Amino acid sequence: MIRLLLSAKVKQYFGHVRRSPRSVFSLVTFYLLWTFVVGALALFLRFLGSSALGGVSGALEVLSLVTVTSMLGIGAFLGTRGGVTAFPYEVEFVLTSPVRPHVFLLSDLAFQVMLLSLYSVPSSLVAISVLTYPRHLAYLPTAALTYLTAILMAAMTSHLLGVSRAVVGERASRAMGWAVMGLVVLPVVLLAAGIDSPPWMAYHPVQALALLLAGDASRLPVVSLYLALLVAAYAVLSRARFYTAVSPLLMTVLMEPPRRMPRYLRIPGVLSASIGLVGRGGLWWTMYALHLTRISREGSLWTGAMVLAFLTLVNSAIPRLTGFGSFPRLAELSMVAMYTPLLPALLAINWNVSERRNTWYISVTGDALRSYVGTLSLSYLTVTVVFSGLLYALISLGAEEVPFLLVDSLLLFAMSSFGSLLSVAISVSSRVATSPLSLGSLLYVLFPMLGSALLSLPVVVVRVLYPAPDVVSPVLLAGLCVYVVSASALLWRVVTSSGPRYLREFQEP
Amino acid sequence: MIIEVRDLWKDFGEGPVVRGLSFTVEAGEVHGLLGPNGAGKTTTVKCVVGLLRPDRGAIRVAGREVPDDWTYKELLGYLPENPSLPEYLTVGEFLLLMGRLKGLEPREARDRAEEVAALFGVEAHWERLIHDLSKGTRQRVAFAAAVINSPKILVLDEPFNGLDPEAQRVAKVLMRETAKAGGAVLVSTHLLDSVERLCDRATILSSGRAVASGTISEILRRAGLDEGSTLEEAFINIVRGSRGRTG
Repeated sequence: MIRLLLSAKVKQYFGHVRRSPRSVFSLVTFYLLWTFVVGALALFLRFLGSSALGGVSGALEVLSLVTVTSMLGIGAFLGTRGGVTAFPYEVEFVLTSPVRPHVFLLSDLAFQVMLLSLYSVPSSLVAISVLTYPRHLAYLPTAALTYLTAILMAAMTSHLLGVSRAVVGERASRAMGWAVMGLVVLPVVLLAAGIDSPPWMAYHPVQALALLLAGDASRLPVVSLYLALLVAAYAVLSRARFYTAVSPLLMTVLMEPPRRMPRYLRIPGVLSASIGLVGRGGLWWTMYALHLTRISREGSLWTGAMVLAFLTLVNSAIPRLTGFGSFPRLAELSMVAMYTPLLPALLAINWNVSERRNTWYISVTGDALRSYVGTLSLSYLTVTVVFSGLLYALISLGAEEVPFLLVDSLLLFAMSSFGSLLSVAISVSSRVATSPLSLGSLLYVLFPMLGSALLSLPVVVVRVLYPAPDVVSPVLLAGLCVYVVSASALLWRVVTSSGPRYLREFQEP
Repeated sequence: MIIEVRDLWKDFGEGPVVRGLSFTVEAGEVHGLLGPNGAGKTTTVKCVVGLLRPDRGAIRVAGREVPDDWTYKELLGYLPENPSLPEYLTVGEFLLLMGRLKGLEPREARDRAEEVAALFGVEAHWERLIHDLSKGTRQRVAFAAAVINSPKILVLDEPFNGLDPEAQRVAKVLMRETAKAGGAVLVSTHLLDSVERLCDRATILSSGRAVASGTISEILRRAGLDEGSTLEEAFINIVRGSRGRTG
């Protein structure tokens, strides 16, 4: 039965790949691209690590810590979202059949482990090989096993949190999820903040796994103990009747269904205010208000913002740990800017999953698609600039000085603008992302992030190479502003002129 | 004629779904589009409203070429099969939005939104999120949105899905009134008894082709049945006959 359920899950997940050889080609291309990007990042870290951390092992430790933190963090995050990756057909047909809870749970565990391994193990092994070459063969077997253990622990944590909803209630389960996430990021936070780890931190599961990954075999008993505890808890909780707590996670992982939207938004007066927004003004204003209403009510903003904040926090540890010399704060600020396109990318994934199917009513009413696409990018830009600006301001407040304010602000705006436009371009012109957790979603993330980094290159170059970026000459700054604005305008023109055509042509049969 | 479909072909890559379909809908007519599952009804409807581009053939709505001359959309009211609605909007917001999209001024849009909400009995749900509505109420809301601009042309795909008898009656009256006012209604449905009483003419599709077209009496004669027979009997005879010929 477990095999049957698993095979149906896999077929459903890769369903779009079975449609045409072109889909297989696209998927393999994205996958190789993803592996290449991770490998290139490792190469970058290797150079930094060998110059700043006194050797390859330092960089390997940093990478291991960040990877394990990300893996277990994702597990806990999915746990707060329900944990079990049920497809809508499973909620409607499998959970209403006499399938025992632990059977369904084990099939999903196998599915999650398989999926997370597919996403992360090959690319991580490439990274390890790049970092440890020519001694990579000595590292790889331990690394592969450790990764698989970390993935198993992440999936089990996710399930346990999800099942706990049926036992302790949704609110308590979420609170536990956030507590687990806090515990998971603790080692990275301590290291990033430059605080010496207390001795007991050696027994922290993330730290133990990271050390094991970096080749310290003495951590094996600690990791085994945690795994045994998780398995024991899993064996007990998997018997719980948790079906009532299962939601179609694959569809909603990056958003909140409207029924869960914040209470204050459900107050009639506040809803009425939105009616005023949607119904008043011209077509462009109406469309703009429509997008902002959707983004705020379906919760994709809050989730996207949290993911951005989490990744910024975790990854800002890299420049600090690899020792960008005496100004890690500055690296952090730039890191916010470089991660900014993640937010419109996540919004675009949500749009594709939940909103694309609603565009029929725009398509059949006059020529509103152009304003729909145009305002979609404007709404992404608004949300991204506001949120990343806040994040930037918070980090700047933590710093004693605010260096490079002008260039960093321009970089922030450039990345937001290019990221928003590229996110709209990719989501409107492609149907790859069938769910927020699909492999195709990588394209939604990679394309805006790499594309906007490339387009922002002139600003990045000035930011990195100019001898004194805080006193950039006004002429250079004005030139950069003109470049960013005109490149954005050009991109906007392309998106608004070709986007509607794609939307019209991609109506499902 | 208000809707003219001539030699329509549509293929999604696995063989044509619609093969050389032709039919017309005149002013003052309610026209039924009938056919078994997979006959190509929804594809045809989507081509008529401009959601799909035909591979071959021509479609003219109110004298305008579909889909390139989009101005016909101002005259159009469309209800898809199982309409997907923006769940994050309230009923009132969605109706207002549709009014604005159809080119109504804000005040006019509000007046019409309230009017159609009352007509379809959803005014009590005005401030409720669409997400929180039952399937039948969503269908009422979708129907109300389709007629918010008092369209001259109504294109409805399985409009009675999930509607209770009271709402079905409202829908039927609206369709008749639209036709009586010189408009045209194209309705795709499986409910043959509704078609029998509601439609002036019908086209029966099978495997993407029109296998019968005309008034209900003409279709009965075409099936070799007398006036006392039902459209259901005629439908089954014609579709089986066409499958026999193609098989």
